[in-house]
Amino acid sequence: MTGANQDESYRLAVSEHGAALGRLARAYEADAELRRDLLQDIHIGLWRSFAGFNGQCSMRTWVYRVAHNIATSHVLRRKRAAKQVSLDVLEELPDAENLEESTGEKQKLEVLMAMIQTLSHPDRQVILLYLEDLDAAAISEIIGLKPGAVATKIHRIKAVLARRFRERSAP
Amino acid sequence: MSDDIKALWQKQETEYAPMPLEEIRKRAKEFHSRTLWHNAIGYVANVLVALGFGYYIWAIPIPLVRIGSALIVIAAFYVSWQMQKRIAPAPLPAEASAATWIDYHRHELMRQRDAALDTWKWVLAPLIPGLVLVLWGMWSVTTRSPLGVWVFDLTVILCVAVFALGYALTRWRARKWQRKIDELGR
Repeated sequence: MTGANQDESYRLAVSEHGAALGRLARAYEADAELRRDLLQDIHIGLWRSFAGFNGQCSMRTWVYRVAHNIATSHVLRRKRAAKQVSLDVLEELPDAENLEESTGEKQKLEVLMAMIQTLSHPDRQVILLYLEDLDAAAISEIIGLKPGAVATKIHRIKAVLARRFRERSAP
Repeated sequence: MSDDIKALWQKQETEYAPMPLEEIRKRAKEFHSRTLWHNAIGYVANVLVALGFGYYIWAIPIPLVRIGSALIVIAAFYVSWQMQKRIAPAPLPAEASAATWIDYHRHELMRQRDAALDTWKWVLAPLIPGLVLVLWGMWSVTTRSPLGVWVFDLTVILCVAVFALGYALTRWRARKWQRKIDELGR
């Protein structure tokens, strides 16, 4: 890809997915300063990656792959990563941990963020992509898990979210 | 309900502010400069080690200690060179950075595991020949008084303990990475 195309692809990617990248960085890194560094690394990595982008997959898939890969490296580099848990643990949480319907949006978001930040891989990646409204097939293409495995994880994520936020999951 | 949570997630405020392309290019170049700076630090460390053990070569008139010190100087240069080669940050090829998350993550974990396993080969092992000669040289001039023997024995035990601990640590770290790789396969 030429330099001009690389720049253009990056611009397009940022205009379409820039906000999602910000949310992704927030979900991976709780510390504000480190989060800025991570977001910067993601943008630099993304721009650099477009030198090798020739339409092998959709731009959305490409952007999410690069971003999640860089964020994962960031987590691996952290010396003292917070303890992570799998979906199994979240499913076992007692009802007392649930939120009432009346809880404010800000609090709900904080609880959701805290839950995501404690999730182990690849559950964290799946829930983040699910929250960005990607379906199982698209998530599978980004993560590399089989679509069936992703669908199962999504089903469990929905159940956990329903329990945590005291509402009924969609049929 | 899922849609509500998704909407809540997507409308949250983030600190996102677009970086101008010029800034992106500049920072990408700085990444390269960071690598060069990293190499410069290694070079200074090399010089310090060479000066330290060079002094022993010049100041201690025991042939075995001199040869051993020279070997340690060479080993220190080798270790620093290997560290630059293996640890210095390097930008990923475009294709690799856009691999599926599983492939990328497995590759990263394997890289960490292999680096831990190899630490023994490129950090500890190169120092052994020089250290053995230095100890041998020291033994050749140690007075055979109980105190002299005790001090020498303690020195040897400390050296062996440090190397054994270093070896055990690298194996432990490698096992930790391997467990993560195994978890990925499940």
